[in-house]
Amino acid sequence: MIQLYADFPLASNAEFTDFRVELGGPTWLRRVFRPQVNFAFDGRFPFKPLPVQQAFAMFEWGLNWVISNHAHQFAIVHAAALEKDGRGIIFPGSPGSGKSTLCAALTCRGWRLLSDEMALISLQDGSLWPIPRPISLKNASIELIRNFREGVIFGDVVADTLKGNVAHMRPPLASVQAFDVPATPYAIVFPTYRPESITDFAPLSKGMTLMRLADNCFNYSVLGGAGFNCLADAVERSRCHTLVYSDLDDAIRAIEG
Amino acid sequence: MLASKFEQHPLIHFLRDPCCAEHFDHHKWERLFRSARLGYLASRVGWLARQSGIWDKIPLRIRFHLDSALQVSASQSVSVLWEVTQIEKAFAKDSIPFVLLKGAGYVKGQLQAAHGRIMSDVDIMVPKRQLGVAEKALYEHGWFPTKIDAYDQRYYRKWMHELPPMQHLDRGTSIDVHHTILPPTARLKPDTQKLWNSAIELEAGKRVLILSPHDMILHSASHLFHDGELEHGLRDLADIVALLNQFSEQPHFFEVLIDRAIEHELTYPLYYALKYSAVFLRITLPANALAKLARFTAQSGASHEFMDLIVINSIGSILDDSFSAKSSASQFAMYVRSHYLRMPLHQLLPHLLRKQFIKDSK
Repeated sequence: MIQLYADFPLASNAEFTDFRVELGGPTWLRRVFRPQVNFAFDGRFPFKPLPVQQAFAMFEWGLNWVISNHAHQFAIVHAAALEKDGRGIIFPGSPGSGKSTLCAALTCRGWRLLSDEMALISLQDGSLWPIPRPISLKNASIELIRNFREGVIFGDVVADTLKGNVAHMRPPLASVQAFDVPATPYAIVFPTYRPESITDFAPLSKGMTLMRLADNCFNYSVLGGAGFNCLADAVERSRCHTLVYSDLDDAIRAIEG
Repeated sequence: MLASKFEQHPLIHFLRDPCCAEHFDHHKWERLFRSARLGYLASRVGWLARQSGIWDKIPLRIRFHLDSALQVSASQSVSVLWEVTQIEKAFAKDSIPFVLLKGAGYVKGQLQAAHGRIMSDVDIMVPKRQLGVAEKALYEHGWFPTKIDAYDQRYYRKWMHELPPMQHLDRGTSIDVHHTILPPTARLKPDTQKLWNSAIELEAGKRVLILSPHDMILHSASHLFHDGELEHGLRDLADIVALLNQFSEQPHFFEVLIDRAIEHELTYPLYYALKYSAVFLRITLPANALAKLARFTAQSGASHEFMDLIVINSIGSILDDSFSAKSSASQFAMYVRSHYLRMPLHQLLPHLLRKQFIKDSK
């Protein structure tokens, strides 16, 4: 935790706390015998306990759950989001689409991390809000990013979670420091990692983009009309693409090109 | 009577008078909002904040949360209204009338209590003789039971006042179909026919109804004390206060309400609902209302004190920043008590034992 969140400022007691979460042992017995960890939000436990080795992953998943269930002032899209030179890009994608790997690689090339998991689009003005928490990488992606750039800091690799092996990467200092500076959506790109494929960066119609964006929006049903308008605005002002890739450098060239 | 830890709680202050939040610091807002979220009152707080005219004086970070909560209740209202049209459609062939209960009733009836009201399902009441037809019609239109365990099915059908809860296959929305407002095993027996006779038809010729204002309050009151652990207790009291605020302008409102409670044998829940509304939310009641109701409750002083202890602690549990073991003991006492009110001991004990030990059988 200290490793991955090292650059974040600590909140003072006088500040407003948005969400009060806690990690702890479910019962005294489970602290000693096959220790488990439980995630508490407002004193309630939304999940079943996990083995204690998965504590950090549970913390991250718990935070994702808390935010996607309680931050309906945003359209929350299951997506990575990054920014460079004032251009915000949303990379929507289901697990396995390679969005987190691409996201980690882009931060290695100087892009500002907004989020690797959820794009927060303000209902009020359509801006893209950062929440630059550690990037969650799975299985082969962990080695891939370790070799992609030297000096990237990882937390421990946790084996055998629901999602396979998981490790979290420390977000870049500059991204953390700009945690309260929103970005402007410039492009929406749907990534697909396909082994051995040649990079294919193809335009996608606005209509299709909107449909697929809505599919990936966690709180679309809660937002109703306001959500539709917000996503439609984001699509309207963005270039829309699909990206099939296997080589990260090649994919980044296509995005930056 | 209210312990000072509850009396001083910012959520209680806010619900009594939203304008007092104008000078709240971050710490108070945080406690207020956390308790509101636990008690299903976050959207109500948002609405009261909008109404009271202090919105612009609320710090931005808190307004984010209030906006988020308001978004939830707004979309729920839309979805509830849509559910009602779908139920209407499902019941059209067999001409089954239905009464919208609780939240759905407030929304469809456009009542004050609907503002910022969060609900997890739509509750309706259909005539008992049409219960079977109604169930079949709902199956045909995509609703299916969520509790398919044979014990649960039997529990609902034999002992409860409702069908086992159903969920719509496409929309995922839940519906509870009742045929009266309290289980037939309960000792209090409100007169269902009288509820139907005075229910209000919302549009001429349509079969969608809501309870009369008096029955609505009585239902909310009896629901408060017959339904589980009271973690929605403060929300239910806030509903009752909103209904009272809207309807008590009517001439002789309280007299009629009390007479109606006597008719339905619901003086006892009404007594407690009014008493604790006054305790928590400081509503003003006519001077003799509680005394008049107390005569029908026939409880000893010690028993009143015991009720005060467990009810106040259960309702107040969402206000307790430490989530102490004491409030959960009170909640357990309320849970047992609510079941005790619903069914006689010889049915209750086996049921609670089963629920205690077969919790994770799914």
